[in-house]
Amino acid sequence: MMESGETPLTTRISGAGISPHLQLDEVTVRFGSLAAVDQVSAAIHRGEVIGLVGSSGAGKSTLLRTINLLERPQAGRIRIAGRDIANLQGNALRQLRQGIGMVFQRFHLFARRSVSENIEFPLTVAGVPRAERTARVAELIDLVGLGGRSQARPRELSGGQQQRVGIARALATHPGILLCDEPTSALDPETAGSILALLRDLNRRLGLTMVVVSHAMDAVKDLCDRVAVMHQGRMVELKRTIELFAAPQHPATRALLRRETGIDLPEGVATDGVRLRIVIHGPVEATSILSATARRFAINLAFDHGRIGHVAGETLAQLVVRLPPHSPTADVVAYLNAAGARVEILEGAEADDGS
Amino acid sequence: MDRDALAALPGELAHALGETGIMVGIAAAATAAVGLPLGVLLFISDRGLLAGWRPLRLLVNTLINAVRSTPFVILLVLVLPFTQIVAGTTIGPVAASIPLSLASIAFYARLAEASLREVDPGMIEAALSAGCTTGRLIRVVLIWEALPGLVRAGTITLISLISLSAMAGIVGGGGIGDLAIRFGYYRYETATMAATVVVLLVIVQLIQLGGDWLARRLER
Repeated sequence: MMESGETPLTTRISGAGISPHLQLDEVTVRFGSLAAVDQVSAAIHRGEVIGLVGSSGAGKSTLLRTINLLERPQAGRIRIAGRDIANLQGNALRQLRQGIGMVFQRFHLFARRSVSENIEFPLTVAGVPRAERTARVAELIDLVGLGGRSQARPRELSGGQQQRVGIARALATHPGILLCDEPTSALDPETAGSILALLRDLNRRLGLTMVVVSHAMDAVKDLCDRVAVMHQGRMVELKRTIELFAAPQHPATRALLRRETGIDLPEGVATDGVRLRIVIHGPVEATSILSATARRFAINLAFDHGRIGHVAGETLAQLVVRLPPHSPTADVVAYLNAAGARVEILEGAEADDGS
Repeated sequence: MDRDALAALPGELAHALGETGIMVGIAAAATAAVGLPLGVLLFISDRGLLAGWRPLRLLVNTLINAVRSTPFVILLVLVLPFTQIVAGTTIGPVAASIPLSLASIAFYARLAEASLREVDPGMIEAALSAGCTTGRLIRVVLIWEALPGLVRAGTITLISLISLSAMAGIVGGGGIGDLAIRFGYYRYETATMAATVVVLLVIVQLIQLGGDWLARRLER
């Protein structure tokens, strides 16, 4: 799986039809009697960014760490570009790790080494000659936007800068896969945003396959092509980010999304008519279906609650809409469904729909 | 205390200092050469960084505890046969440096182990995830990152070595502590006693200052 990296991929490669870059088959990691990772299977394509989310203890970090064998699975297969790596030892194991970058929540920089020396470390480990190392370090410092700080010690840097060093170090040996363990959890929201933007940019420029662990949905929603939800060691859901946000299936996913998308009606809101929960996702114009509905059925829509945002470049609208009494509810729902919206009748379904 | 004894004091002091220097120097060198590796061994075998080294850890751990739990005066006598084999004699400063080395190696190995435990495990993980060998991990990451702590531990060890060397008189090791006991205490030469105490005080102060300075410099 050692990417040459000499020819950075400038375009995103669609995963469809290509054998997976990273394939997990029934991977199980036990700590004593506890299965921290329980029979997880997934196929990740080259250049794809996968989010691993879940509450703490769900097994997401453990799963991430099996990919470079910091944790060894007791059962299952891990294949990288078709090669089973789960039993690698010694030199083969070290070579595997040189081809996989890892970024940590708390950065894990070498405290008594400068920015340059930190970034140089994996190159020295890989036996790269000195002149080449120096050139590569300079290139990486530019890549992550740390120009002028090359001689600083980690503790002289802000958290965001330290994470940039961590990312540069992880990318030093041109890895094909980048593992990120809660890369923004130790950072303030603004800095976290800039690190996520950097990771997204690196993914696009270098064609990196990335696995990003996070306990928060909002850290992965713009970065990841697909998101997997871990719950009690199992991967309970894995789907395109927008689809996961628009139509979460598993209770664990819903719980994680509650903060992101949860809609709670305040007490005492008028309750006449029929209340619908409508989820629309797609291009920005997608929400115009609501005014089209109002015109088509000549009814006034009241908006009780809602949230409109953007996930992975698409608009995601989640609205609680009230139809006036005696509206043709069934027809409205059918019309919205036909336009691709998901509709759930919250209350008043028994009311006379007046048609 | 008569005039002659007083006149002989500087010479006696210089001679005793030389003997202390030999004992402490040999023991310190042995400690650096053996104590540090043992400390590293204790640390990495405990962290499971080297598979199959657990039995060795048990052995080293037990030996170190044995040496550390034996009062030094007893250790001095107990290892006389070993001293005879290594030094070829059981008398004099070189012979006395053998039990001193053993005590100091055991002491420093424990302190070094503690210093290495202070290194953020995240750094070890970062090094391993870069595909680093255990050897490089020890040399380039562990020892380098723990260096200020290892230096501070060395300062403590060196000072306790000087203190232990006072007991070397029992096997004819001589040294400045021995001078204080034989002349200052047994012969009631108060001036000798005072002089040795002052000399020891100055030496220990200098070592502590030097060690602190070096450690602080390394921390920067």
